[in-house]
Amino acid sequence: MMARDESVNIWQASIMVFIIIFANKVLLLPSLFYKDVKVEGIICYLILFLLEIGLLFLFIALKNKYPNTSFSDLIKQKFGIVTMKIIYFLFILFFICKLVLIYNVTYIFFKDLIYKENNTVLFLVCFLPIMNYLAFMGLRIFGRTCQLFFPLIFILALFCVIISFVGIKSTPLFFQANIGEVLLSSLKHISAFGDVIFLFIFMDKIEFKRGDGKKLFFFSLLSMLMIVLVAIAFYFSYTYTSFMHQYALFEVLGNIKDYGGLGRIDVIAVILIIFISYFQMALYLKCFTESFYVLLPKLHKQYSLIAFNIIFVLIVELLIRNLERTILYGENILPYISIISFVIVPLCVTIFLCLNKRGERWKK
Amino acid sequence: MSSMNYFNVEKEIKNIKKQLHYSFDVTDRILKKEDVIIGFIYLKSFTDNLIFSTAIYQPIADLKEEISFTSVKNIVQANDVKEIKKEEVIDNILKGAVVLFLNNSSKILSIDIQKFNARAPSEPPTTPVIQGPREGFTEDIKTNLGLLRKRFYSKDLVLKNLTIGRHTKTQIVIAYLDGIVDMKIVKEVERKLKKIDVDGVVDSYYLVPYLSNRPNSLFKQVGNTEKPDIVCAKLLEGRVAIIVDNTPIVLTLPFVLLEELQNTNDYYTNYLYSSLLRFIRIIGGLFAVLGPGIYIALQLFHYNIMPLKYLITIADSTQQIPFTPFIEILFISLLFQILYEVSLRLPSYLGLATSIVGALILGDTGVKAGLISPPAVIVVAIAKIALYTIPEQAAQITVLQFVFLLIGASLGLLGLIGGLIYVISYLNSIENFGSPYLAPFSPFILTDNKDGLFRVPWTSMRERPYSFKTNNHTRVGE
Repeated sequence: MMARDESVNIWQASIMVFIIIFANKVLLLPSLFYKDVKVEGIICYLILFLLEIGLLFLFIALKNKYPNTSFSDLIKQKFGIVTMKIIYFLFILFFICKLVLIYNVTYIFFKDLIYKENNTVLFLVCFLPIMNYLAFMGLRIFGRTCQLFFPLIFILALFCVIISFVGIKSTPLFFQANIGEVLLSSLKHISAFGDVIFLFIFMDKIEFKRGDGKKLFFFSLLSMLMIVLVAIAFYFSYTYTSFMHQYALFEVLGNIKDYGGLGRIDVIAVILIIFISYFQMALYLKCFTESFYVLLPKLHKQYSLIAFNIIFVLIVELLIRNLERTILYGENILPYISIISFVIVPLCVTIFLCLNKRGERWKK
Repeated sequence: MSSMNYFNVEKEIKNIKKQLHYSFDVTDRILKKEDVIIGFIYLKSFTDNLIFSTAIYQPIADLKEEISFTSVKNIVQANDVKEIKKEEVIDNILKGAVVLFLNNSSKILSIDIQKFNARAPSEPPTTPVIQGPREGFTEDIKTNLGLLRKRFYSKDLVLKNLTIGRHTKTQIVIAYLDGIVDMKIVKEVERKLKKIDVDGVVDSYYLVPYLSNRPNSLFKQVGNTEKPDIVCAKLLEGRVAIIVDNTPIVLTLPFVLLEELQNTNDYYTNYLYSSLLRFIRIIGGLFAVLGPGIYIALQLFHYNIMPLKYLITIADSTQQIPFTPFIEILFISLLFQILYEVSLRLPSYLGLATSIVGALILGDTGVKAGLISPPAVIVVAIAKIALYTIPEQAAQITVLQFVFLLIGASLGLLGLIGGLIYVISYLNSIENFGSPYLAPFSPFILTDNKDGLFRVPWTSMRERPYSFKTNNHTRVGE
């Protein structure tokens, strides 16, 4: 018998939240923030994390009210099938665009640092089969796999965070950017956030009891804290040249030479990034297939994977291949798509909750 | 009963011999005493002639009273004497019984005096122990059941008998502890075994694909052991054991991968030491699977992330090698595998010669001749030795080692980690008799982890595993 049940427990969901929040916010982002607003990039992180926490809070509130209902059913009930289809179409767009961004950042990182050869086929051969397999095998297997690798991922991440402080050399100047610039930079890079949106997609598949929200909060805050610490260590290690060092997590470890006789430790960051990239991309693909299924329920799930592979390869091959174009794409196109995670979904959830409250008052 | 139903002994014996195709070892004896004719038929290859004479033939021949079915049944000196039906005659003869017909009775007597030269229980070569019981199962099912009974003076040890194999008619016993085992598992095992329609069961491994939910998988889904103390421990945990005649290998179910990390020695030594050993086993297993792949990936793709000192050492020792790093590693791995296969099949007196040829001539001379590099030899040698930290998974690890070697050579580190994630998620998709294959790690079960990656003292292991269903989880009383 194959374990293909689609539900995950709260621990597995929390681990997924940790991984998806941590992934890809520790590579390009600190450097990009520094380019815009110098050390105040940390404030950008905090602002965007507040939005992410808000999203998480809304998810928990919704889950407490409707423990066994899917998000698509809720939208269908309150707003009708057409709205539901439009929202899920936007979800599809959101997930594939984010996937393309993440894939490109990862691709450029590996090509620059450990592969040195511009071999797109090699990367597609590595990523696509694993992503497809994890997405096809179901959420439970995905959750269990994340759970098994979590201790390793967490230890590696913790190691990177702690060790990154060893390389601190000087203190950068604070308050070089004004609040307007900070907000503008946050808006520019908003597409790198809003990852917890995946929880809404799998809302009915997460075993959730009252009080379980604490676990979700704990893991997300832990992940956010680690990201902020990496960013701080990065700014304090490279100070005024931070914008020149693109891959923060790798660079902070590379800055430390032969720590404790361990030799080169930046390899640890590479391994960590490989692990989290695989899981993040597979989870987004899973979200894509789920949304696709809601949009076209009569089609078998395999078709969603076929559709994804074709669209993904086309976008990756045709549009983006270098860092400049990836950044351009991430800063200029994706923020508009992030509207789904930071406007539409929160709006819908708030309406549900308000209507529900009003309904309860009416009953009383 | 009318005399019409009585046997014509000669005719019956002739008929049975015909059914058994006049095999040379089918033996019959006719004893005529007064008006009574007694016919014996048995297999001389299975029956001790001396026992037959002293325990059956002679007492009947010397019988003073009138010969009848009852008097014969009472006079025979054997433990297992039973009346059988006519259609059971052939089966009983084939299982080593002496079948007896009387011309003044319509009943048939089967007397079990089967004598077979069974090996005495000895320490199994596959599971040696430093401290702890050294007894191992043998090829004789009765001996094996005795070894099990010796460990359970409990009425709750249930042994269910089955026969599988159209030609071999192999005896199979399902053993479990009533009150502890989940009866759904027992019923499922029984159902799966009864469904088997095969010409023969030569070894317990013949049953494994029928009991596995994914029979084509590389990964083992049924536990096996040669040691009664291990079976005893597994029965106490709430598992089911399957004992097959003619093999010392006993199967246990449900099976989880963790069982392969646990070793009998772990339970007969200090818990901290055994925890350390388990950790080393995991490291060893991981190195065996990934070691050559990582080495080749670093050499081919990621030399720039290698520390400079290592890079210089490797570059120095590999620059004269005529082969590519992949061919070099593949060659050494294959060479090792060939030597391993040879050493398994060669007589033991030639084993030493193989080691000398393998280690000294092929290894040392290969390095000196500049055909293979010392780092490659070291990596492969460590990986091949590390493989035996988990000897029960040697077959699986060997296959994975070659797969990861190929991945490392073609896709580098990214491919290796992707492959690892694939293997783990595949293992996560396996469920046998309701137990997740990677439990208690994923899904994480806290209580089962007391005997997982690390082992706590016996006094702290108060509950039976939750990785699979059991009826009673309490192990240690208050």
